[in-house]
Amino acid sequence: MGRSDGRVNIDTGAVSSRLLALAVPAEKRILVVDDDDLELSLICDRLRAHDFQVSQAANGQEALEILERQWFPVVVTDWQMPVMDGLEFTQRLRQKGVTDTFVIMLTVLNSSFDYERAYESGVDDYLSKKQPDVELYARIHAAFTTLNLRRELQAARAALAAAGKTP
Amino acid sequence: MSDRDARDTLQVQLNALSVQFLERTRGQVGQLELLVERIGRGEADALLELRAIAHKIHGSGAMFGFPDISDPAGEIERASDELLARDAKLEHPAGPGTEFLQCVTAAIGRLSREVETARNGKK
Repeated sequence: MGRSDGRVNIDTGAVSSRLLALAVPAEKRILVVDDDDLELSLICDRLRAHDFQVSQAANGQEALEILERQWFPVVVTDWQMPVMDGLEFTQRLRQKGVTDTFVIMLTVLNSSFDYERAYESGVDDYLSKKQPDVELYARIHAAFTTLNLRRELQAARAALAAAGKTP
Repeated sequence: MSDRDARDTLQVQLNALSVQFLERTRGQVGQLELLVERIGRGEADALLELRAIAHKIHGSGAMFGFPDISDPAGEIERASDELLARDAKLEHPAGPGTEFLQCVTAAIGRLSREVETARNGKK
């Protein structure tokens, strides 16, 4: 409910509980999408060794089906895959209205990659396949941080809306 | 499990995957050589296969920490992309010339040597 001084009172029970639920940091769950068994094992083993809960999919279509059943805060996807590539996967995910999943695209960062189209498709970040472990973990931690900030912003907006204020 | 045990376990897993990658790539080098022969005979679909395998080695080589394997595969991929882009603009595609075949054959030779060097290092 709004206050007469223009500030929003977020101490009401329903608003506070919604804020708390949305502001809880996302679990360290990652979905890795790659059609290459060896690359998939390599990434998954490295992430599991750093205490991430990792699930895997062989292409974009399989990833969409998994995401229908379970929310993942972060998806690391290859670009070129059979059935459905990484760009189409991201585009379809965003078309479904999923904005609270951070998508990292794995590429070899060559000139044939259409970065502009990828950003327009909803890709949040890129990671070169040439990067060492330290870069991989740094980018994934940055992804979780960004996602948690997005969730907090979403929570604040919901709280404002519940309090009768348009953000 | 201690951090050190976890690191050791991971290292064993990654080494096993690297060996598998090198064995797979060795087989793919043979495939690339056959594809170049087919391209030389004018089989257009062989170029797409060549490009796909080169792309795979380019990416996986980088991920597994073998830049000397990834780079020549990247050269094959780029040369294939350039040829595909050029022919797409022509009413009557010219197909691969001597320059393309020489460039790709040389890159496959480098790739083959680097795979053997890496395999010997892993033994």
